[in-house]
Amino acid sequence: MSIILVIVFTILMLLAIPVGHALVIAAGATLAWQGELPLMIVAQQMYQQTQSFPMLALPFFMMAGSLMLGGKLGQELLSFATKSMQRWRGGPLSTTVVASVVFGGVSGSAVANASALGSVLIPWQKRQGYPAGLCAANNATSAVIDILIPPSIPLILYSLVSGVSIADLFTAGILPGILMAGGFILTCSWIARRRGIHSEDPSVSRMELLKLAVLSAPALLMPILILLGLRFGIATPTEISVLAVIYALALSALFYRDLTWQRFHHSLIEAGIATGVVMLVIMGSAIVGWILTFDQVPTRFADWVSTTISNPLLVILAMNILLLIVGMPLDLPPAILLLGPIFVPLAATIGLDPVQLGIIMVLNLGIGLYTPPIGTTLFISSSIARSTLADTTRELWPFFGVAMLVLLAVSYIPALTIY
Amino acid sequence: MTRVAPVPHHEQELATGGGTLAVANVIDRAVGFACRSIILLTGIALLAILTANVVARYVLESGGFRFAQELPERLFPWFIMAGVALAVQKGGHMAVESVLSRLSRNGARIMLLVGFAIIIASYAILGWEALGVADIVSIEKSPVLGLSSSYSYYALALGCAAVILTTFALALRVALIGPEAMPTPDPEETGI
Repeated sequence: MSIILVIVFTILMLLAIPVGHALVIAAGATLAWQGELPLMIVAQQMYQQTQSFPMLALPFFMMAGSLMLGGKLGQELLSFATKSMQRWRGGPLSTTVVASVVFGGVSGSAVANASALGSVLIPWQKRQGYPAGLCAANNATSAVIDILIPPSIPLILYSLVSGVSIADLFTAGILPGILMAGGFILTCSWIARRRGIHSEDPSVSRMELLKLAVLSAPALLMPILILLGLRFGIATPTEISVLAVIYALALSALFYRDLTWQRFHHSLIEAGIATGVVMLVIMGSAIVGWILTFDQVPTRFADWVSTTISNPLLVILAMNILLLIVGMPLDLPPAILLLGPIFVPLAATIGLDPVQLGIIMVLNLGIGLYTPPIGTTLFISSSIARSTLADTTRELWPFFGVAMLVLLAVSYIPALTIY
Repeated sequence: MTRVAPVPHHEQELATGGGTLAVANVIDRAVGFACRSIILLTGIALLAILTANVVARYVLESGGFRFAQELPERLFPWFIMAGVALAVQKGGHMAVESVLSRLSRNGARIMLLVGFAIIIASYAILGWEALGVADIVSIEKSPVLGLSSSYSYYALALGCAAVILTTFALALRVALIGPEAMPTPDPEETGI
């Protein structure tokens, strides 16, 4: 049954049918071909996913991010990142990296991050003398830091398939995220030094920087508040996401005074659409997962790998290679939802902690968002920078190298994710 | 991967299009209005219930509202399915377009239309099955509010109907205008 499923799914994907639809249709076609199982299973499995209380966190984290970044707070955050970095060599480029970290604490989406930051920062960086391809490469890679800093939508999805606590995953993502940001900042500085590019902007006074930090503080505090809320059991992840919306609404209405009905309406509708996109993939993956489990594919795969490759380090390497290949054509949510149920039992057989596996998966599939020749943040950034894909790809390699080093470190040093 | 190509100027062509395109516009407006209304109503209700429950947990001795898990579970499917249909309209669902982008304009048009036909037929079957399950589970009631499980399946069935209508409207546009009539989503609407 699983072979039919894979064949039909591949054909539908080649026909450019959206992944969510392709998963639902392929699973339905497989059940119809098998003939003995009722098609009602498709409807039942889809329904089951809509009853998942933790998944209610998705729209509200998205809405909180949209509310915070769409108004004055987003501008203050960007000013803070820009001014704090402009005195350093390669500062304009590093601004994207720092902004990705601070925006990551509010939003949970790398694609939204690439678009929001790129449209503001890339034109400014180009005016500073940085080549379009380099700006695009920097933007495409830095945006992915977002999904390691809490709140992270891909980590919430991984918690759904693995059963690992969202609080543990959010905590585990911070150090790799900071490590990646540090590596990218050094890369930006190295590139600027090698090419002799100097910043023309005057450096800002400490007072001005402090003022900007105070104005940005409400957003900079958000990931800390989320983690504290989860760690101390003040509320469930879903309730924390709702409180994040209330926090964003209160800040916007009382502190920045830019809340309008239009902004609220736009944020909620945007969150609704994004939830529809992600939930359709979740619903489709659930039916596919049901069929794979019915065929005992995850167990058989884990048994096969553990008997074929005896060394756990090689198993982790094999998982990483497979994720890199899958991550190129497939987006993050379906890749996590399809491979998660297969990799979690495999990780258990080799003694790999599921929290560490979650960060490996999200980081690895995040790299897939800018791995040439196809990648969402790669395309968005190239389009904003008006750079050809070839130019962006040429400039991408130093950043790609840093990301691979961080991935290797996360894969083989448990202390980076489990503490 | 998500479609990120520049938006073609098909809006002008739509304005000068014939009756068929007017039908597509009417479908889109009706489905869009219904879905946006559902997202707003259910979204605000979910926000209010969940916030009130957190407050109630620390204020009331009962430790929160007993219905605070039940009602969101009944409302969330409506929120999701409205989002699914609206995302079809906005082109938000992620697709791998490596083959499509290599085809000629006519080839791409035919390929898209084949895909739309598959989606419409499949969702018609899925919607029918969802109604069947809704019938079966109508006797299952939630413990506190006594809400039937059928409501969630009706959301699934109506969501399928909205996907069919929206896909049909898209198919009309692609058939008459070409592949450039495909909508391009905002990055914020893709969710990753």
